[in-house]
Amino acid sequence: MITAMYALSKQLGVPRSVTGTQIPHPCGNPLLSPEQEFAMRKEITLTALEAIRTPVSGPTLFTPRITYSSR
Amino acid sequence: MKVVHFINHFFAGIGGEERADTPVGVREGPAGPGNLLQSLLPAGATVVATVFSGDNYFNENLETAGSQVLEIVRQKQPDVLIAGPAFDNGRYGVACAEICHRAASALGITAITAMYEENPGVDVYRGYKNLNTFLFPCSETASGMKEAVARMAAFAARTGQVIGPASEEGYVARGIRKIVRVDKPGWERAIDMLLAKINGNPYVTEVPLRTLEVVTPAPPVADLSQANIALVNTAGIMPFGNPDAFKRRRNNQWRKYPIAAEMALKQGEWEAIHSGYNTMFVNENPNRGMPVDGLRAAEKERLIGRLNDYFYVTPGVQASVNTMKQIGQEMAQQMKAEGVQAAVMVST
Repeated sequence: MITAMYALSKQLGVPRSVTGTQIPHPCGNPLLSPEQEFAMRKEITLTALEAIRTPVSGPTLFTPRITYSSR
Repeated sequence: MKVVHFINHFFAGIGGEERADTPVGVREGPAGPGNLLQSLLPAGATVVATVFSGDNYFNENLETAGSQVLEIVRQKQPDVLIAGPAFDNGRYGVACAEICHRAASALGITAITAMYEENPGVDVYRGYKNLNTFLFPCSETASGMKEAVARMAAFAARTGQVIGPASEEGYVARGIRKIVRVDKPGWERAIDMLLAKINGNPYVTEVPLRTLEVVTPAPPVADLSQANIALVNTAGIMPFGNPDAFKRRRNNQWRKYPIAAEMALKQGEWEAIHSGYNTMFVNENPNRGMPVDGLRAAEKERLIGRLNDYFYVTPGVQASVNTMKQIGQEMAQQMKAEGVQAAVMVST
């Protein structure tokens, strides 16, 4: 699951959570140019795929290698 | 008695969904529903401050926002913290449950909140099992504001007194078992219960079994290059015009829609039907809420075998847990029939 509410998803037991950027656009950043935003979204997508390839024994968080600070 | 009240950006009068990113702030005295709270608190009790936070700000910055709120509460040195009522607003409910837990733990004070029983904040509260936090069930919408605030105010008046079990006091059970002395020995109570059960008379179990269901993680898919990956979203992204009449909240249906011809979702062809977040960003670029373009790129580079021809959707807002569990199982069954090996789900 890709979500910005990853602390909650992990707490409630979702096995594989991926850090999304922000609640209204978990795979987006409207402040970036379309090209930069797509590059960021691709990285988030690839992290989700990495999570699918990874064995997990309990709720696990996967963090994409992007620089996004919400505040 | 000094009370600090925590509310969200909406009840603080700052704005609607577009202001959900409001950072933590504080006002002197009561604000919004805090005024009603002040009027219902016992004599001598004062709402000395109102701390507020935007729903998104809090949930996107759980640690930081939690600490910021705690610091403000600490400075005010209250006897009681009251949060909400959050009704069926999931983000607000989670914030209330988090803050109650932090304040009660760090400051040793009683923390009281109220929300609708199906609010995810209830699970957070139950998970913490904090002896000093109390969550009262209330109505789904703010039409029950008066009752909810009255309930919290009445319980605040009990601060310092011995509090009984959830079944007597009316708060949501936290699963904490206290050792008490009773007159009849266990074997006698068990026989009484068995006789009542056999005779069809009412009885009350002493050990209610209630666990947060543990989901066993699915095994990984080692080689994705042959795999069929499906996209799922609870952001409510669906064909423009909402052809299947989804509601903006509390749905009990789901659908799948074709994307075989889509390399990326185009603005204007899709829209987000969902009352729980500001949908303008995903309406502008739906890939922000469901990365079709990202998975097409992975497909092109042979990182995955293919993106499934259909994506699956149900708006995840004010949904009944049991309904969503059923929907999840139905979706999974359908995906298996379509030869899907794994799914990527996006939640707003």
